[in-house]
Amino acid sequence: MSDCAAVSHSNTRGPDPSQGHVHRAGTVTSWDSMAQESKLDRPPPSGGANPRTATTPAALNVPPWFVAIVVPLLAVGAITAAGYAVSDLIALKNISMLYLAAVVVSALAGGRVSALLAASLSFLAYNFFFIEPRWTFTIAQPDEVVALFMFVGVALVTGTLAARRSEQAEAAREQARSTTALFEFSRKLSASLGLDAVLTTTVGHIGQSLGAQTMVLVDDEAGTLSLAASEPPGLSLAPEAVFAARAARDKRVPTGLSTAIIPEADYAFLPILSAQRVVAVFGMRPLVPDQSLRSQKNGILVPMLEQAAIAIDRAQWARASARAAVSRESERLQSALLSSLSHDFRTPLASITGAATSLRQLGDKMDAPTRDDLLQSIEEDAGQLNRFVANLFDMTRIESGALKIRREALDLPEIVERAVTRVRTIDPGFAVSISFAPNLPAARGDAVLLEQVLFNLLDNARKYAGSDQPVAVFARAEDGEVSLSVTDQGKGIAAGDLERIFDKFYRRGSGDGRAAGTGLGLSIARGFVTAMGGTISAESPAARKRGTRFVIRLPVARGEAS
Amino acid sequence: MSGSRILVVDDEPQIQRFLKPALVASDFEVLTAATAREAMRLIATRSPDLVILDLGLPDSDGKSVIAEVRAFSRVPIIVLSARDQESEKVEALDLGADDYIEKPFGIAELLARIRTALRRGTGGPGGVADTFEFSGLRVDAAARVVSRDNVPIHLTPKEYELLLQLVRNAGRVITHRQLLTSIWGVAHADDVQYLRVAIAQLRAKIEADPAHPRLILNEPAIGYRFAGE
Repeated sequence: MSDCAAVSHSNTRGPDPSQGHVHRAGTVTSWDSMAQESKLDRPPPSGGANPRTATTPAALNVPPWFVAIVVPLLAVGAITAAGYAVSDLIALKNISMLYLAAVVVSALAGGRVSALLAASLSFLAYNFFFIEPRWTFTIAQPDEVVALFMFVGVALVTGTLAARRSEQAEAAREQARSTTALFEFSRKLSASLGLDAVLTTTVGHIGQSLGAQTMVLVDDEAGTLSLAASEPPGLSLAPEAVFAARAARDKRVPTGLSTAIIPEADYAFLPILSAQRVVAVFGMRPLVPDQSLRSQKNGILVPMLEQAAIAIDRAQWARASARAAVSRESERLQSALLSSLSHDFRTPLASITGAATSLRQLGDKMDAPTRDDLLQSIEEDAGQLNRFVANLFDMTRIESGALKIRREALDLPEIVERAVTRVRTIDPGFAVSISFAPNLPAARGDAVLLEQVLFNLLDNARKYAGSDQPVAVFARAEDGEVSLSVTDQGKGIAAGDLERIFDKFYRRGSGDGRAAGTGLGLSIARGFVTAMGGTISAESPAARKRGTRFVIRLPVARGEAS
Repeated sequence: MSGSRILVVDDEPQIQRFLKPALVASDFEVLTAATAREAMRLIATRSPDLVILDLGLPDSDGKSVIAEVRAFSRVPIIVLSARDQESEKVEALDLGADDYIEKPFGIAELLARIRTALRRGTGGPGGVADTFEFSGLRVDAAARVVSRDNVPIHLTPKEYELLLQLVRNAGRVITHRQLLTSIWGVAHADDVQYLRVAIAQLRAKIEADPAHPRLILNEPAIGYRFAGE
């Protein structure tokens, strides 16, 4: 832990560090991301508010230096007491062997330093308590001096060997833990679908493995580095930390806490690098403040971040490619729409232009019926263009909300008759059978709009079902509403298309060959019916595996409900 | 020319409705087809002198009709298309269509295109004639001499080939790709800038006012057309 960081943050390191940052960051306006501003207002989650008490059980985490001192003291004390009790029974030299046991125990428990300490204490205790003259540090017999130094030599060598053995075992355990953690991390990452899941896995796993608060920052769509995931969730960043994170991204070096670059930040930041680019920035702060970022344990951080880099890179590419697919699809729709509109307007225009120029330049070579037919085709195509324009105009009125809706009792038979008459101006042979249930209550709505809806439905039936097949119009009361159905005997509509046919510009089939239309008729019908407070739906097949039925349901006019 | 048999392939009844009487009134014999299959049958059995083909057909892409017809017949094909379908037009022309006309069109323009295409088909003037003269420009293919108002014009071999190609197809559009392939070779089929430079040099030598060309006309995004008639 850097002194500098500790000092500069002394004013904010209260019992709840993240709370402190909420307060501080709220006064800062230079942040470039509104998203991050809003995160600052979020209250810290109760679980991770104080990391030190939340996740550090004191009993299990005795500092190593404490062990290194206490174990030799206890061991040497115990051996001295035991040796003193049996000193009359066994030879003096054997007592020194007991001290060797204390050195070995200390070495295994506390390492090299502990072994040295135990050897020194043993030297003093052995001399003081057991070597004549007792109760002094002087030695009477010269050979005792030799024996003592031999003891110290043996104790040091034994202790060192034992300590090394203990260190190696610890290293092997650590290695195994790292490998397991890395393997586990890799397994979790590959099970994470999507960028968000990968980022959450990354911060969660590394945070738990290292006992640290962790976060990952990625560039958002505007290219601003912003916090994407954190462990515990909901962490926020002080301004210095944001600068440090950005520096880590731009300079591709570790920054922040315990580094040379912006050490006053309360997190350390590491760029997560893929082969070509910085895919994200990883931020962490150890839960135990004095645990250095460079401590042994963090050896696992680098391989974990490498794993994360691959997973994040992959997820980002997947997301980019999904976006590209969406935009390709929308471009395709746009171009299909344009080509459809262009075709629907250009065909009647071509026919009008062709007929008019033919009449003018070749009219005197044509007989009267031919000239008459050309004139009539001009009229008809002008009518078709007029309907297209009216459709587009209606659609615009629905979408802009400029529709004025009348809510009056409707004379259904008259409205149906007017719509049928309009269809017959286009196709005089249009066959339709109309029937009304007895005692039909009056529906409420707008007569003009409903006539347009019916006309669109009947015109569709004519175009898609063929005019030789009779179309049935039927009205009845149903569940307190008036339902009006239009049923054709055409091929019907696939179940998957029944809702899509109401989409704007949706048209079944493709290419020039389909019947002329803007793909707006049903969309307008739904817009109008909805505006009148009713519903419209399609059912197919209508009967005997054929045909399509459109059902309009309108509310019953007030005072008419039965 | 009159009396020629024309096949109109279009699935829009409105188009057939005016094209047929207009062509009949211009002394053509008219066959009609609404599908690609019907069109192929009529081309094979009735040998029309010219085909007017809409590119959007219900049973097949009009372009595939062109490819199939070209496998056994050199009958002139005029494509009906919309203004916003440049790539369609270029593909149709590269597949062997002779010309195109955009909807909506006046009948006079269509008749002019039909006459140009029929002349080519029968090997008349504008076909493989050895000399060509238009508005003061004279190209003598036999002597390889080009002159304007009887003043000889010096052209590089590439410019000469380009001009010859254009005048031999006078009145008819030739795509960039067709010009590039026949003059520079297949390897340069997409190097439109070669063509732009050569056309600019050619215009500077043969046009009265190169800034407002009257002989070599642009067909934007498609190719060039030498003013015919």
